[in-house]
Amino acid sequence: MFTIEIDQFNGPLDLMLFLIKEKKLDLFDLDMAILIDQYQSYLFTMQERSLEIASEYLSELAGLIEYKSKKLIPRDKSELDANAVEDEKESLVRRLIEYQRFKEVSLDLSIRYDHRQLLVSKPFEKQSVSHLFTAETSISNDAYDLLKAMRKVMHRLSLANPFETKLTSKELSVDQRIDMLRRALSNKHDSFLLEDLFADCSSVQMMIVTFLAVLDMIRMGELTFTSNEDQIYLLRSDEYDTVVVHS
Amino acid sequence: MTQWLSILEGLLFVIGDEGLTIEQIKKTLDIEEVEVLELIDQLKARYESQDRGLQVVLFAGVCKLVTKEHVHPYISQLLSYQKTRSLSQSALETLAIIAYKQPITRVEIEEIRGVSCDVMLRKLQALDLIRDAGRSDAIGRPILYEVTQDFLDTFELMSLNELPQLDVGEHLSSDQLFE
Repeated sequence: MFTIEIDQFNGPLDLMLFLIKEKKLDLFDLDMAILIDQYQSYLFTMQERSLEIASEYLSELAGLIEYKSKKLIPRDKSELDANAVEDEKESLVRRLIEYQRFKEVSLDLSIRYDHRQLLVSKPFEKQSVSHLFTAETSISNDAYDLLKAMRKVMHRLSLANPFETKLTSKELSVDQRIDMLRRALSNKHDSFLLEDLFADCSSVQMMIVTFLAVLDMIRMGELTFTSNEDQIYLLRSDEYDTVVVHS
Repeated sequence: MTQWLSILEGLLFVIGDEGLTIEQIKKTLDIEEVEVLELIDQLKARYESQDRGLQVVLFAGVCKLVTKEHVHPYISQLLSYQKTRSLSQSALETLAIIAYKQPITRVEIEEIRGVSCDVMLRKLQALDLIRDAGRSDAIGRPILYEVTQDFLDTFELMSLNELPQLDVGEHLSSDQLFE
């Protein structure tokens, strides 16, 4: 049985060409019955192995089965009908041939591509950058060429003036944040929303640190909290007795 | 003329991977186009005949100085990042179809390949191998695609005429098929 995975094929036409080759069918005098059977059983095997089958394969299968049923079911045998069925076969064969041609050509492209990758050139001479704007280059009046030219200019400039910068990361520890919160809350005698504490947070990290600080302060008994619907209210524990807590 | 050879060699060295178009060489040296082509051929021949690590190539109308392929293993040895990117079979197929049929719409490409090409086209566009070439007059005014100068360079082509002939089946020409 088949041992080839569906991933190896670049679509239903590729699979059909493989089956035609495998079963030694003649593309120019295609036995549709064999092709359809093979194609169908191939997809079924894939399905049994619960491999995902791209919708393109199934849509081709639907077309093939439609063709098959038209052939099998005796209909009113007007000549027109028979011709239509033959047309479908021809159109499939035509597609297969066209696809095969491009497949062959892509092989040639692949060889060219691999060869080109082996040839290395040196970047543009940096010292010449200052003459760059006077040098004449022929650019057609095409937005893409302009865009590309701009990219080149930016690239050259970046080579000429390497961009230097210093990064400093500010880190805030949970303890530091607790101190900040204590100071901020020193004159808060009423209950307040948890969200209020995030008001001065400039980054996600800071929000997380704030949240950890709040948890820690609750653990240490400095804060108490109640929740009302979606809101979380906080209150300094030492104010607890003097304030009516939101119920 | 011999001096021109050395001048061209020097220019190619300075311009590096950007290369020089025939037009640029013509203007810089103030000579005729035929002479430029002659000059390039001569320089090419010199590099080829001698035991050199460099060669002159002419892709997409641009003349460049590049290393010879036998040097490559040693370049990768020296520069560990010098990896060759490979293009997938589906990418190559899509490119082939565009190169032969351009300008072409996405739907037309999909008809030939039998699979959806949306993502692939965006990838190829990001690689600068294809670009959009306006819109078709068909319903919905779909975008038309064509290959770029970079495509020609990437596949060692001077122009699309250099692409191998599409093999029209031996005993099946198109008029036989559509009688």
